[in-house]
Amino acid sequence: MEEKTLDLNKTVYLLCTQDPHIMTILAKLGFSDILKPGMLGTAGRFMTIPKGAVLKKIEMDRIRKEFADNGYEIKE
Amino acid sequence: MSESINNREYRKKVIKDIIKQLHEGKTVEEVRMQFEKAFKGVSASEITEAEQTLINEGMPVAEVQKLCDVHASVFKGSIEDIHKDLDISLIPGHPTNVLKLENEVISNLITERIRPYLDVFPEGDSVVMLEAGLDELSRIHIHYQKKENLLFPYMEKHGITAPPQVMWGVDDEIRNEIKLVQDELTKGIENLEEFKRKVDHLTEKIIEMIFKEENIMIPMLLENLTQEEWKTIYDESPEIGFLIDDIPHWEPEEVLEELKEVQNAQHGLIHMPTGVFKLDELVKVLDTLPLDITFVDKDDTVKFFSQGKERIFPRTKAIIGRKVSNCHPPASVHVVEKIIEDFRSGKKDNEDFWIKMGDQYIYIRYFAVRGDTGDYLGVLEVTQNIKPIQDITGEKRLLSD
Repeated sequence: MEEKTLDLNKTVYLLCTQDPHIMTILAKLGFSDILKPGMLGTAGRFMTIPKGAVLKKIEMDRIRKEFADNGYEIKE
Repeated sequence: MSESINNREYRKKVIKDIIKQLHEGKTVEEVRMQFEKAFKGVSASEITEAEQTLINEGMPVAEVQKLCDVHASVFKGSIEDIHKDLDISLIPGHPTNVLKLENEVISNLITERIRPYLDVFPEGDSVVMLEAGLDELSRIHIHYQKKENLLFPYMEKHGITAPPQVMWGVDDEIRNEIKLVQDELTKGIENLEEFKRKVDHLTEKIIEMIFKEENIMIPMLLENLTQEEWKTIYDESPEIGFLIDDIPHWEPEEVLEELKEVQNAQHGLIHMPTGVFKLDELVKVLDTLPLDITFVDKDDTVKFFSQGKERIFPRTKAIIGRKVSNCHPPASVHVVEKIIEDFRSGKKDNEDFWIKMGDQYIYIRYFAVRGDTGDYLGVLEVTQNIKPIQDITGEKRLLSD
């Protein structure tokens, strides 16, 4: 299996365009706005996952775990 | 936004010129001054954009890249560096600075004048205090109106359409919920726990909105808006008002002479079938009409509004050139679209509404504007406070003193 990493410093836009599977996982975690048309390419370019977690009140630990379970290595 | 387009054109011309001079063998130092003059205070992304346009127009990339040395010497750093170092929202009086200060007011209001009283509600003076706090909070509509009428139009102009729509929807929810809890507080609370939960939820939502404005909206705006666009926003903000007093004066470093020339050239005569107006006469005549008018053309673009002394619904110049569907809260857009559809198809020629607003009785009328052959030219909105007219009784035949 190829190496998958989730860089928490990168914008959501970059992460999701490089790896659409990340978008699916984020949406599942509760980042529902990401699926609204036009949001990823605009607002997503200014949002990182930690920022989004503050906004949506989603525990970073939950996010880390979900991605780890999906085989991602988390880069802080 | 003809002026900003003109300025963009002007800057593009300057870049072309400088590239030509570099090509002819001038040194970076020699052209540096020209570049500095034209681009001082202009966002880096605008420079990049001007360069991109030139590339799109067929100028070889390598030619444009020669400019990089000039940037570097003018800005003493790369484009990326400028982006990082400059926090425009710290400049006193800049619209983003005002927006942040207002957010501070809002969040202080919530933490100091609403939540503490909600915690002990309805003990002691908490009912009165909470009522006062919520009243103050309802002024948030001023903050949101500036955003919706002054900032969103520019986001749309730069192709950012989804975030403003989503945000406007939430603004509406917030305004609505404030009203609901205020009503409940005056009319009597049915379920205390439920009420507290509602206020809690509302304040959470407002705090979230502050986060979105500052972390998403402001960076997006700063990356896209030109200095002239910010200046327009600054100039038009007092029309809507502020949550803070004493807005610091802010003047962008350079308002180009060229811009003034363009504006001066616009004076002229308007020949109509039944007479001739000077431009300033026409403007003042329309502003003197005892009603507010707004015209939306056949492509649903806002083209004009009159600026009477006491406009009932505030309008700002930023809406000119904006699609009408983007000028209404999401909840009422479908009504507007239906009217336009009926006008365009010829099904209707006018549609009227009347609403009470404080002491005023507002009559809002929409008319289909048609050409001589009946072709659809657009919609004219006419708004008027008809209370004073309704109050008229008897007769008046003599001159008043």
